[in-house]
Amino acid sequence: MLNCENISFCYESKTVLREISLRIRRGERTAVLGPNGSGKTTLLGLFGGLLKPKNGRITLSGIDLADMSPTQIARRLAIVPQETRLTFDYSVLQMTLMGRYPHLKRFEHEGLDDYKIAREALAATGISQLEDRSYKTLSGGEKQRVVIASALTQLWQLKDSQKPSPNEGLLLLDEPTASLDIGYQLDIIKALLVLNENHKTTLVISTHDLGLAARLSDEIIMIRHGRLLATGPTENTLTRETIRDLYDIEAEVHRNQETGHLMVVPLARK
Amino acid sequence: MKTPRVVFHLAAFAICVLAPFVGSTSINLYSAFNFEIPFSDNIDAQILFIARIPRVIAGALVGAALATSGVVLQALLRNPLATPFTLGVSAGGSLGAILVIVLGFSVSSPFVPTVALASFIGSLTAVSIVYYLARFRGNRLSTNVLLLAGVTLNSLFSATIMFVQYMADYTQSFYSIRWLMGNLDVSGYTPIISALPLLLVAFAVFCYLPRALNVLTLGADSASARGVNVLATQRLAFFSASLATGAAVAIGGPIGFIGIIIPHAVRMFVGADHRVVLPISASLGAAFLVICDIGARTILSPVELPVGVITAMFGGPFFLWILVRNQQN
Amino acid sequence: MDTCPKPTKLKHYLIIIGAVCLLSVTTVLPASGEIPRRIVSVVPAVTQILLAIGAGPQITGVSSFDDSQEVASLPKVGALLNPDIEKIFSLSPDLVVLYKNQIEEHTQLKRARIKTFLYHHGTLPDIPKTVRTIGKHIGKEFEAEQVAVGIETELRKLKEQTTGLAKPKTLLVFGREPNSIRNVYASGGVGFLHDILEVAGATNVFADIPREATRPSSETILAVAPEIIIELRSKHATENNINSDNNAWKTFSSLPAVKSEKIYVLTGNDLVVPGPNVAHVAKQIAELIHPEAF
Repeated sequence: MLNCENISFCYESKTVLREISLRIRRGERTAVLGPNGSGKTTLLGLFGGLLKPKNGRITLSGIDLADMSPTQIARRLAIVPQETRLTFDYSVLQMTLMGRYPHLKRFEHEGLDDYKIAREALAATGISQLEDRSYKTLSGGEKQRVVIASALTQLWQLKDSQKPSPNEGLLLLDEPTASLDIGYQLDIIKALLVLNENHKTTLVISTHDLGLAARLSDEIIMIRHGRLLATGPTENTLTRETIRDLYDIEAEVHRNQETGHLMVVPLARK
Repeated sequence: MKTPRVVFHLAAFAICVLAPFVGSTSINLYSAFNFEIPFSDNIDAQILFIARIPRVIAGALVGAALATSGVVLQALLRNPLATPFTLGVSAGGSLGAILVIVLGFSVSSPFVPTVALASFIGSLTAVSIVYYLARFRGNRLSTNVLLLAGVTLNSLFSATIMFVQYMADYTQSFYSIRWLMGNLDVSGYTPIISALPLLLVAFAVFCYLPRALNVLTLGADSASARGVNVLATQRLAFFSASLATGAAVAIGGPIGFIGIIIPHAVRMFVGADHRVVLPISASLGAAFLVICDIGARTILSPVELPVGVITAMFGGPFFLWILVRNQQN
Repeated sequence: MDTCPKPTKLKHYLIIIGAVCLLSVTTVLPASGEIPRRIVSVVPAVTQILLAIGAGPQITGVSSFDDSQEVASLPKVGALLNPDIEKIFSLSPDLVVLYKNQIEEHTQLKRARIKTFLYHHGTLPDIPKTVRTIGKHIGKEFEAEQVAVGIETELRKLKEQTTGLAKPKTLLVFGREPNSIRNVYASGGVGFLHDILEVAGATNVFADIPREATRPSSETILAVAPEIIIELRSKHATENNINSDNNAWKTFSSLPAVKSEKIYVLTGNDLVVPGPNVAHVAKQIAELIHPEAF
């Protein structure tokens, strides 16, 4: 679905990413791992079309991102940033409806369909009951779910069956669980899994949290010093050796008996 | 508050229509509308049509312009404390006007009054400098640079204004200080007609922006990710708000308070959706300034108070009252 | 033995005592008896008065608004709003003319034991009074009397010439925005400009306003409907500007002054200075208001 061909990116004459080639397939859940400064956020920005690569190209469903307008990109791809700070207070429903921006014409108002999609998105993230609440009064976890719901409304559209379905939607999330209480972290994980399994949303998650990566993703991308360190299915890629190379730490990787996921236990610095 | 929106607009319109009938001189309305008396013999008609009606129209336009510019700039700069004067537009306009007042230039153009023209040129200069400093790095304007450039320009121009006033004849100094307090006594339709095209362009752009402004307040990246053309939106917002402010300052001087109070008051009543906030701010801004001007010309009649003093004096407590009400809800 | 009669010792003593007395008189005389020779004037009206009574040579410093020929080369020490007290001190004055409300400067000068004359801006009759007072202070009483009498005589003559004539409603404007009738500043019912209008045989449209200056709105101007409008301008205005500028009044077509085209502009530098030329200014204005009487 999303293809990177040998891309590189510079910021103020410093090469932040170089020679990255990778592939994200439809319906996959991918985690992007790497220490601070490795270029993770830049990579996500490139995926989302917010940044333009210096060399190489990124294609979405075969079309070069550089050839697509922001609206066209926005209909297929949504970003959930690490933090969303509002200048003014909006209600949860209003914020969710903002995701419809790329689908409406300049002076068009949101219609019944748009409201339906928004409410479906709120249901998918488990916060329908917060519809009329003001965003600023929500907890961290609830806020993050609103932002995810808003991102979803970008991707979905009503088919003839009058039930929203994803439109080859790709959701990019930057540190979705950072600074959240553990309970909210679980809520987010659950919501994301539901989206992926029930609604076939492709997920790309940039994270520090190795546990999250192990739990949630079936593909891993490791970036170190702007280069691709490793990529592949979680089983094969998330290993003691790769973790050592990536983070300079010794860690134990084993499978959890109860859930069957991989677990990572950090031990010491290398 | 679930007041139907149309009530705001009707009330504002009613205020503007009734305002010309209030004034410091009592006029005979029957005579004023008696078109059989030749206009140049009909003092009542002249007071109504030359002194009062243009003044009310000017007040409505300036009030609407400043209120809506305030809304747009607060969204652009993602800062609820932004005012139409934050980016230096009015300081440039004031400097232009004061230079003309002090140096006594006179341009014999029947279309545009000299001081208004000078004020507008001053505003344009300020806007150009600010834009030049903040023009895109990457694919958007840096709101931080805009703010800093605006604040710097404000200081610079204010210092220059003080310098010019100090060097001037003290009567000219006095005149320029009075100009800075705002004055809607346009004494004719010329200042309005010359500013109208500019205001219409600005208002037209304001109609184009609201949804994009909503999304823009989430952050430039979030907006971009939702398909908003951030750079275009920022440019349109910046230039239209500056145009409206420059025109307003050229007509009536830098009348403060409207550009920050009205947006806040409106948002307290109707929420933050700019599609609703902008038109209501226009109406409320117009009505508010017209009312303040009525106060300016009748409170100490026949002496006039500068309207900027009234907006400050009434604006402050008015806002406090709304704030207290809001806490109680 | 000498034949010449020697002066007696008494005579010697008398001469010496006489000399000492004379010296002491001249040194011990109280300051008020001395004639100031280094006058600094912060008030343009007083500078003009000093020049009119022939005290020019006694002036060492003038205000920033004094730009007449005679004092062009003298140092400028500021004016009402920002007098340069250091500069004043540096000129070692023996008399400083200040405005009555320049309290701070007055205190500073008093502390330095420099004589001050406090000028109070008053009405028309106060001007000859001020002339006489100044004359007394600087030892030019005779000349001052002449100037004062001259002013009073001229004003009286003018009054006689205009008595009995109809007094047209007049608006005396001393400032407005160029090219438009905005921010108009006019004479109120108090002050020497108002008095000039009275002497010149006119009725000030704002005679009922208890202030020297007023800023009427368009509405007020239309309501008072002046029959004559006189604008006082400083010499910066050029001929061209005056003509095109006056068209601005045409919007107020109901004003009798506009209909009969009785809008006059006087340019000069001392039009608004209540000094010795005030009678001349009054005459100029009277000629505009009652051309038939002159």
